[in-house]
Amino acid sequence: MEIVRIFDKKDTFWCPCYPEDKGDDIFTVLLTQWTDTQYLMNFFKDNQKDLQNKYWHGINIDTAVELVMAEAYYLQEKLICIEYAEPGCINVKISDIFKPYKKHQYVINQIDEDYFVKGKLDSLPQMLRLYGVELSDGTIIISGGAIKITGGGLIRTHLKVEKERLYKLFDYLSVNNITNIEALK
Amino acid sequence: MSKDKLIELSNQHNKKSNWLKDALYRRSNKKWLNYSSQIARRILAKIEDDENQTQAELARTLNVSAQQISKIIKGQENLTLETIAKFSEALQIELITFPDYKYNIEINKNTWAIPTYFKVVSLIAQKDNFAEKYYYELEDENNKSDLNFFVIKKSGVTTETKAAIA
Repeated sequence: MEIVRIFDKKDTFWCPCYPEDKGDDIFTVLLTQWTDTQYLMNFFKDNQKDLQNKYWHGINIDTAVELVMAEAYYLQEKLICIEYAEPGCINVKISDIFKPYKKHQYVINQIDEDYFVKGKLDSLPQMLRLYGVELSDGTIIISGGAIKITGGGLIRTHLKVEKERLYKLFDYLSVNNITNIEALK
Repeated sequence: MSKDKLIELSNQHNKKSNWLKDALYRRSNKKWLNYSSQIARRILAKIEDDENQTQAELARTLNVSAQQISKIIKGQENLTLETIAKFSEALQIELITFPDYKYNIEINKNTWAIPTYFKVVSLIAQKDNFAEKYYYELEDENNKSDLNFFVIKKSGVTTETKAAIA
Protein backbone atom coordinates (compact mmCIF):
# COMPACT_ATOMS: atom_id res chain seq x y z
CA MET A 1 0.00 0.00 0.00
CA GLU A 2 1.20 3.51 -0.83
CA ILE A 3 -0.24 6.62 0.73
CA VAL A 4 -0.88 9.88 -1.15
CA ARG A 5 -1.83 13.40 -0.17
CA ILE A 6 -5.28 14.29 -1.55
CA PHE A 7 -4.84 18.06 -1.31
CA ASP A 8 -1.90 19.59 -3.16
CA LYS A 9 -1.19 22.25 -0.59
CA LYS A 10 -2.37 20.76 2.68
CA ASP A 11 -1.35 17.70 4.69
CA THR A 12 -4.73 17.06 6.27
CA PHE A 13 -6.40 14.57 3.91
CA TRP A 14 -4.80 11.34 2.71
CA CYS A 15 -5.69 8.08 1.04
CA PRO A 16 -3.99 4.93 -0.25
CA CYS A 17 -3.32 3.67 -3.77
CA TYR A 18 -4.35 0.06 -4.12
CA PRO A 19 -2.54 -2.17 -6.62
CA GLU A 20 -5.83 -3.13 -8.32
CA ASP A 21 -6.52 0.52 -9.22
CA LYS A 22 -3.53 0.66 -11.59
CA GLY A 23 -1.83 3.74 -10.22
CA ASP A 24 -4.85 5.82 -9.27
CA ASP A 25 -5.50 6.60 -5.62
CA ILE A 26 -8.75 5.37 -4.10
CA PHE A 27 -10.25 8.84 -3.73
CA THR A 28 -9.84 9.56 -7.46
CA VAL A 29 -11.31 6.13 -8.23
CA LEU A 30 -14.33 6.77 -6.00
CA LEU A 31 -15.15 10.18 -7.46
CA THR A 32 -14.79 8.71 -10.97
CA GLN A 33 -17.18 5.87 -10.14
CA TRP A 34 -19.70 8.15 -8.46
CA THR A 35 -19.91 10.33 -11.58
CA ASP A 36 -19.91 7.45 -14.10
CA THR A 37 -23.42 6.89 -15.45
CA GLN A 38 -22.83 3.31 -16.58
CA TYR A 39 -21.22 2.32 -13.28
CA LEU A 40 -24.11 3.78 -11.30
CA MET A 41 -26.80 2.24 -13.52
CA ASN A 42 -25.19 -1.18 -13.13
CA PHE A 43 -24.77 -0.71 -9.38
CA PHE A 44 -28.42 0.18 -8.84
CA LYS A 45 -29.68 -2.54 -11.16
CA ASP A 46 -27.66 -5.06 -9.12
CA ASN A 47 -28.99 -3.63 -5.86
CA GLN A 48 -32.45 -2.56 -6.99
CA LYS A 49 -34.26 -4.43 -4.22
CA ASP A 50 -32.47 -2.33 -1.62
CA LEU A 51 -34.12 0.80 -3.04
CA GLN A 52 -37.48 -0.69 -2.06
CA ASN A 53 -36.77 -0.40 1.66
CA LYS A 54 -38.43 2.24 3.79
CA TYR A 55 -35.45 4.62 3.72
CA TRP A 56 -35.75 5.31 0.01
CA HIS A 57 -39.50 5.73 -0.38
CA GLY A 58 -39.47 3.57 -3.52
CA ILE A 59 -37.27 5.85 -5.60
CA ASN A 60 -36.38 4.55 -9.04
CA ILE A 61 -32.93 3.81 -10.44
CA ASP A 62 -32.78 7.06 -12.40
CA THR A 63 -33.39 9.13 -9.27
CA ALA A 64 -30.86 7.08 -7.31
CA VAL A 65 -28.25 7.76 -10.01
CA GLU A 66 -29.00 11.48 -9.79
CA LEU A 67 -28.74 11.43 -6.00
CA VAL A 68 -25.30 9.85 -6.02
CA MET A 69 -24.05 12.20 -8.72
CA ALA A 70 -25.41 15.24 -6.92
CA GLU A 71 -23.75 14.15 -3.68
CA ALA A 72 -20.43 13.47 -5.44
CA TYR A 73 -20.52 16.88 -7.16
CA TYR A 74 -21.29 18.50 -3.83
CA LEU A 75 -18.32 16.76 -2.20
CA GLN A 76 -15.88 17.69 -4.95
CA GLU A 77 -17.13 21.28 -4.87
CA LYS A 78 -16.46 21.53 -1.13
CA LEU A 79 -12.98 20.08 -1.53
CA ILE A 80 -12.07 22.37 -4.46
CA CYS A 81 -13.25 25.25 -2.31
CA ILE A 82 -10.84 24.22 0.47
CA GLU A 83 -7.96 23.45 -1.89
CA TYR A 84 -8.05 26.89 -3.46
CA ALA A 85 -9.19 28.70 -0.30
CA GLU A 86 -12.14 30.07 -2.24
CA PRO A 87 -14.54 32.50 -0.58
CA GLY A 88 -16.31 30.82 2.29
CA CYS A 89 -13.62 28.16 2.71
CA ILE A 90 -10.56 30.10 3.88
CA ASN A 91 -10.64 28.73 7.41
CA VAL A 92 -12.53 25.53 6.70
CA LYS A 93 -10.78 22.34 7.79
CA ILE A 94 -11.24 18.91 6.26
CA SER A 95 -12.80 17.72 9.49
CA ASP A 96 -15.50 20.37 8.97
CA ILE A 97 -16.50 18.75 5.66
CA PHE A 98 -17.10 15.29 7.04
CA LYS A 99 -19.05 14.22 10.04
CA PRO A 100 -18.53 10.88 11.74
CA TYR A 101 -21.58 8.78 10.94
CA LYS A 102 -20.71 5.52 12.60
CA LYS A 103 -17.39 4.15 13.75
CA HIS A 104 -14.89 4.91 10.96
CA GLN A 105 -17.66 5.97 8.59
CA TYR A 106 -17.99 9.55 7.39
CA VAL A 107 -20.69 11.38 5.49
CA ILE A 108 -20.59 14.86 4.03
CA ASN A 109 -21.47 17.46 6.61
CA GLN A 110 -24.19 20.10 6.18
CA ILE A 111 -25.42 19.36 2.70
CA ASP A 112 -27.09 22.43 1.28
CA GLU A 113 -30.53 22.47 -0.26
CA ASP A 114 -29.18 22.52 -3.81
CA TYR A 115 -28.04 18.92 -3.35
CA PHE A 116 -31.58 17.63 -3.23
CA VAL A 117 -33.05 16.41 -6.46
CA LYS A 118 -36.19 17.98 -7.86
CA GLY A 119 -37.03 19.60 -4.55
CA LYS A 120 -38.88 16.63 -3.17
CA LEU A 121 -36.27 14.29 -1.78
CA ASP A 122 -35.19 16.25 1.24
CA SER A 123 -36.24 13.46 3.57
CA LEU A 124 -33.84 10.93 2.07
CA PRO A 125 -30.61 9.96 3.82
CA GLN A 126 -27.23 10.43 2.16
CA MET A 127 -25.98 7.56 0.01
CA LEU A 128 -22.24 8.06 0.02
CA ARG A 129 -19.94 6.84 2.75
CA LEU A 130 -16.23 7.33 3.18
CA TYR A 131 -14.41 4.91 5.44
CA GLY A 132 -11.27 5.87 7.27
CA VAL A 133 -9.70 7.21 10.41
CA GLU A 134 -9.21 10.60 11.95
CA LEU A 135 -5.96 11.33 13.75
CA SER A 136 -5.90 13.37 16.93
CA ASP A 137 -4.74 16.48 15.01
CA GLY A 138 -7.79 16.37 12.69
CA THR A 139 -6.00 14.68 9.77
CA ILE A 140 -8.29 12.29 7.93
CA ILE A 141 -7.01 9.19 6.13
CA ILE A 142 -9.63 7.39 4.12
CA SER A 143 -9.38 3.72 3.22
CA GLY A 144 -12.25 3.71 0.73
CA GLY A 145 -15.87 4.54 0.20
CA ALA A 146 -19.17 3.08 -0.91
CA ILE A 147 -22.74 3.71 -1.91
CA LYS A 148 -24.65 2.60 1.16
CA ILE A 149 -28.31 1.90 0.51
CA THR A 150 -28.95 -0.94 2.91
CA GLY A 151 -30.43 -0.23 6.30
CA GLY A 152 -29.14 -1.33 9.67
CA GLY A 153 -26.53 -4.05 9.74
CA LEU A 154 -27.15 -5.43 6.27
CA ILE A 155 -23.78 -5.91 4.63
CA ARG A 156 -23.44 -6.37 0.89
CA THR A 157 -20.33 -7.67 -0.87
CA HIS A 158 -19.01 -4.23 -1.77
CA LEU A 159 -19.25 -3.18 1.87
CA LYS A 160 -17.26 -6.24 3.00
CA VAL A 161 -14.45 -5.08 0.71
CA GLU A 162 -14.48 -1.71 2.47
CA LYS A 163 -14.22 -3.35 5.87
CA GLU A 164 -11.17 -5.30 4.72
CA ARG A 165 -9.57 -2.14 3.35
CA LEU A 166 -10.15 -0.35 6.62
CA TYR A 167 -8.34 -3.12 8.52
CA LYS A 168 -5.48 -2.96 6.01
CA LEU A 169 -5.20 0.76 6.68
CA PHE A 170 -5.07 0.12 10.44
CA ASP A 171 -2.25 -2.36 9.88
CA TYR A 172 -0.38 0.04 7.61
CA LEU A 173 -0.60 2.90 10.11
CA SER A 174 0.34 0.66 12.98
CA VAL A 175 3.41 -0.75 11.18
CA ASN A 176 4.50 2.84 10.53
CA ASN A 177 3.98 3.89 14.14
CA ILE A 178 1.05 6.17 13.42
CA THR A 179 -1.03 5.44 16.45
CA ASN A 180 -2.81 8.65 17.42
CA ILE A 181 -6.05 7.47 15.85
CA GLU A 182 -9.00 9.24 17.44
CA ALA A 183 -11.51 6.43 17.35
CA LEU A 184 -9.13 3.95 18.93
CA LYS A 185 -8.53 6.07 22.01
CA MET B 1 4.61 13.70 14.38
CA SER B 2 2.16 11.40 12.59
CA LYS B 3 1.81 13.98 9.85
CA ASP B 4 5.59 14.03 9.40
CA LYS B 5 5.51 10.27 9.09
CA LEU B 6 2.76 10.46 6.45
CA ILE B 7 4.80 13.00 4.49
CA GLU B 8 7.86 10.77 4.75
CA LEU B 9 5.87 7.77 3.51
CA SER B 10 4.42 9.70 0.57
CA ASN B 11 7.88 10.95 -0.40
CA GLN B 12 8.99 7.37 -0.93
CA HIS B 13 7.09 7.26 -4.23
CA ASN B 14 6.11 9.77 -6.92
CA LYS B 15 2.39 9.17 -6.95
CA LYS B 16 -0.02 12.08 -6.83
CA SER B 17 -3.77 12.15 -6.53
CA ASN B 18 -5.55 13.04 -9.78
CA TRP B 19 -8.90 13.87 -8.23
CA LEU B 20 -8.43 17.64 -8.50
CA LYS B 21 -7.76 17.71 -12.24
CA ASP B 22 -10.82 15.50 -12.86
CA ALA B 23 -12.98 17.47 -10.42
CA LEU B 24 -12.11 20.81 -12.02
CA TYR B 25 -13.05 19.37 -15.42
CA ARG B 26 -16.38 18.14 -14.06
CA ARG B 27 -17.01 21.48 -12.39
CA SER B 28 -16.35 23.44 -15.62
CA ASN B 29 -18.51 21.12 -17.71
CA LYS B 30 -21.23 20.24 -15.21
CA LYS B 31 -24.21 21.27 -17.34
CA TRP B 32 -23.43 19.32 -20.48
CA LEU B 33 -22.11 16.37 -18.46
CA ASN B 34 -25.57 16.19 -16.92
CA TYR B 35 -27.17 16.17 -20.39
CA SER B 36 -24.70 13.51 -21.46
CA SER B 37 -25.59 11.36 -18.44
CA GLN B 38 -29.32 11.70 -19.18
CA ILE B 39 -28.74 10.52 -22.75
CA ALA B 40 -26.44 7.69 -21.62
CA ARG B 41 -29.11 6.35 -19.25
CA ARG B 42 -31.62 6.18 -22.07
CA ILE B 43 -29.17 4.51 -24.44
CA LEU B 44 -28.28 1.91 -21.78
CA ALA B 45 -31.93 1.16 -21.08
CA LYS B 46 -32.72 0.79 -24.77
CA ILE B 47 -29.78 -1.56 -25.37
CA GLU B 48 -30.91 -3.60 -22.35
CA ASP B 49 -34.48 -3.87 -23.67
CA ASP B 50 -33.56 -4.76 -27.25
CA GLU B 51 -32.23 -8.30 -27.42
CA ASN B 52 -30.83 -7.67 -30.91
CA GLN B 53 -28.86 -4.63 -29.79
CA THR B 54 -25.44 -4.67 -28.15
CA GLN B 55 -22.82 -2.00 -27.65
CA ALA B 56 -20.67 -3.69 -30.30
CA GLU B 57 -23.58 -3.79 -32.74
CA LEU B 58 -24.33 -0.15 -32.08
CA ALA B 59 -20.70 0.79 -32.69
CA ARG B 60 -20.84 -1.06 -36.02
CA THR B 61 -24.12 0.58 -37.08
CA LEU B 62 -22.85 4.05 -36.26
CA ASN B 63 -19.36 3.41 -37.58
CA VAL B 64 -17.70 4.51 -34.36
CA SER B 65 -15.18 2.78 -32.11
CA ALA B 66 -16.10 0.62 -29.13
CA GLN B 67 -14.11 3.09 -27.01
CA GLN B 68 -16.33 5.95 -28.13
CA ILE B 69 -19.48 3.98 -27.29
CA SER B 70 -17.98 3.21 -23.89
CA LYS B 71 -17.32 6.90 -23.22
CA ILE B 72 -20.82 7.85 -24.34
CA ILE B 73 -22.56 5.37 -22.02
CA LYS B 74 -20.45 6.58 -19.12
CA GLY B 75 -22.11 9.96 -19.72
CA GLN B 76 -18.81 11.67 -20.33
CA GLU B 77 -18.96 12.55 -24.01
CA ASN B 78 -19.80 16.01 -25.31
CA LEU B 79 -22.21 14.81 -27.96
CA THR B 80 -23.02 16.87 -31.02
CA LEU B 81 -26.60 17.16 -32.20
CA GLU B 82 -25.57 15.12 -35.23
CA THR B 83 -24.33 12.27 -33.01
CA ILE B 84 -27.47 12.38 -30.87
CA ALA B 85 -29.60 12.21 -34.02
CA LYS B 86 -27.63 9.19 -35.30
CA PHE B 87 -28.08 7.36 -31.99
CA SER B 88 -31.73 8.27 -32.00
CA GLU B 89 -32.24 6.80 -35.47
CA ALA B 90 -30.18 3.69 -34.76
CA LEU B 91 -32.03 2.95 -31.52
CA GLN B 92 -35.39 4.23 -32.74
CA ILE B 93 -36.00 6.36 -29.67
CA GLU B 94 -36.04 10.07 -28.95
CA LEU B 95 -33.07 10.98 -26.77
CA ILE B 96 -33.92 14.61 -26.25
CA THR B 97 -37.24 16.39 -25.98
CA PHE B 98 -38.11 20.05 -26.00
CA PRO B 99 -40.15 21.85 -23.38
CA ASP B 100 -43.29 23.75 -24.23
CA TYR B 101 -42.80 27.44 -24.68
CA LYS B 102 -45.15 30.32 -24.92
CA TYR B 103 -45.79 30.13 -28.68
CA ASN B 104 -46.66 26.43 -28.82
CA ILE B 105 -49.09 26.28 -25.93
CA GLU B 106 -52.60 25.99 -27.17
CA ILE B 107 -55.34 26.79 -24.75
CA ASN B 108 -57.78 23.95 -24.99
CA LYS B 109 -61.05 25.46 -24.03
CA ASN B 110 -62.75 22.14 -23.32
CA THR B 111 -60.00 20.74 -21.09
CA TRP B 112 -59.35 23.90 -19.20
CA ALA B 113 -62.93 25.12 -19.27
CA ILE B 114 -62.06 28.67 -20.08
CA PRO B 115 -65.30 30.40 -20.94
CA THR B 116 -65.42 31.51 -24.55
CA TYR B 117 -65.93 35.13 -23.64
CA PHE B 118 -62.42 35.31 -22.19
CA LYS B 119 -59.56 36.62 -24.24
CA VAL B 120 -55.91 35.82 -23.35
CA VAL B 121 -54.13 39.12 -22.88
CA SER B 122 -50.75 37.91 -21.58
CA LEU B 123 -48.79 34.84 -20.54
CA ILE B 124 -46.07 34.56 -17.95
CA ALA B 125 -44.13 31.27 -17.81
CA GLN B 126 -42.24 30.35 -14.67
CA LYS B 127 -40.19 27.29 -13.89
CA ASP B 128 -39.17 25.84 -10.57
CA ASN B 129 -37.47 22.56 -9.66
CA PHE B 130 -40.27 20.24 -10.59
CA ALA B 131 -42.94 22.11 -12.45
CA GLU B 132 -43.56 24.67 -15.08
CA LYS B 133 -46.30 27.13 -14.29
CA TYR B 134 -48.03 29.29 -16.80
CA TYR B 135 -50.03 32.23 -15.63
CA TYR B 136 -52.55 33.38 -18.19
CA GLU B 137 -54.07 36.73 -17.69
CA LEU B 138 -57.51 36.68 -19.18
CA GLU B 139 -59.77 39.53 -19.97
CA ASP B 140 -63.48 39.21 -19.43
CA GLU B 141 -64.79 41.30 -22.28
CA ASN B 142 -68.42 41.17 -21.26
CA ASN B 143 -68.04 41.26 -17.48
CA LYS B 144 -69.74 37.87 -17.18
CA SER B 145 -67.41 36.52 -14.50
CA ASP B 146 -65.00 37.49 -11.76
CA LEU B 147 -62.44 35.02 -13.14
CA ASN B 148 -59.36 36.83 -14.28
CA PHE B 149 -56.54 34.32 -14.62
CA PHE B 150 -55.71 30.67 -14.73
CA VAL B 151 -52.70 28.84 -13.28
CA ILE B 152 -51.58 25.78 -15.18
CA LYS B 153 -49.14 23.45 -13.48
CA LYS B 154 -47.25 20.91 -15.51
CA SER B 155 -45.47 18.09 -13.74
CA GLY B 156 -44.44 15.09 -15.79
CA VAL B 157 -47.46 14.06 -17.82
CA THR B 158 -49.98 15.52 -15.40
CA THR B 159 -51.57 18.78 -16.25
CA GLU B 160 -53.60 20.56 -13.62
CA THR B 161 -55.58 23.69 -13.99
CA LYS B 162 -56.71 25.98 -11.28
CA ALA B 163 -58.83 29.01 -11.51
CA ALA B 164 -58.23 32.00 -9.38
CA ILE B 165 -61.06 34.28 -8.50
CA ALA B 166 -60.40 37.97 -8.32
